[in-house]
Amino acid sequence: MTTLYVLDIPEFGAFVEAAENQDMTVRRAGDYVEVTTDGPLEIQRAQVGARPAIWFAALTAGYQGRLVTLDEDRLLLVEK
Amino acid sequence: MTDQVPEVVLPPELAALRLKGVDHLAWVTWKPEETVRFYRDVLGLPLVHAITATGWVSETFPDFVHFFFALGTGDHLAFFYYFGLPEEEQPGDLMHRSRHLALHVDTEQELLDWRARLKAHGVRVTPPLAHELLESIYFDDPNGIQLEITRPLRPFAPIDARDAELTLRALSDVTRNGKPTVEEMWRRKGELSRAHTEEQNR
Repeated sequence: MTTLYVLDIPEFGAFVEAAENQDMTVRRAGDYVEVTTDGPLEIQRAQVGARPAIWFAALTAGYQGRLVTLDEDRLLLVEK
Repeated sequence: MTDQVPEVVLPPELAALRLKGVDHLAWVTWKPEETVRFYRDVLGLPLVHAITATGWVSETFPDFVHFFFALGTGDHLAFFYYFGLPEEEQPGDLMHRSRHLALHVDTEQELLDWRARLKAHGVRVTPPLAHELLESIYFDDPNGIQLEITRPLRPFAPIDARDAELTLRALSDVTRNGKPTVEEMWRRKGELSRAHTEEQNR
């Protein structure tokens, strides 16, 4: 299982939408949205459409798992 | 600028002991004429005070002029000019970008108008760059000091302050333990975010 935390503010809303569109488990609790999926958690930049300052800050709220890629096009977390 | 300080519970001894913004920020210049022309005539900051003195502060302290520009909200930007002081090397690119002063405007139009004014005075200025909560233009003063003019995209909110506390706790935790990496910090932040969400669900 891999988990991405997203701060529940408008700037990061598109990350949550992208996760919902991929049928990941999305749970809001307090200040954060917890995005969980079995196996790898992958979000394409094209699905999010965030400006660079937001895209490259995608992991600000933290994650559980191992970071493989956060580049211009793709975020990929895998299980440890 | 509106007061964007979130509500916090202060220790009792600090309740009556509050700092109230910047009085002045001081830099050193080797180019006094260009500095005055830039800050007073291009940025429109009134020159409001200058003191001249022999180097009385310590035995080796050089003779100096210390002059102040008003930034418009009670705070000031000050420069020292030291007589006979050899010019220091410019910092590297990262330090140049990092140590900067950001000046506030309220609207996108003001940001664009400032950009046009700077360009009209031959100042190299970046296009507007949108960060998380701010949109900014960047340019250098005649001393090579990086300046920024910035406008808010939205006000700082209490959620930003609570998240900042957790981020800095994560950063402190990983910097305390040897060689910190951003991945380690994000994993630690994930633990703190999870604890926060679990507490909310209790």
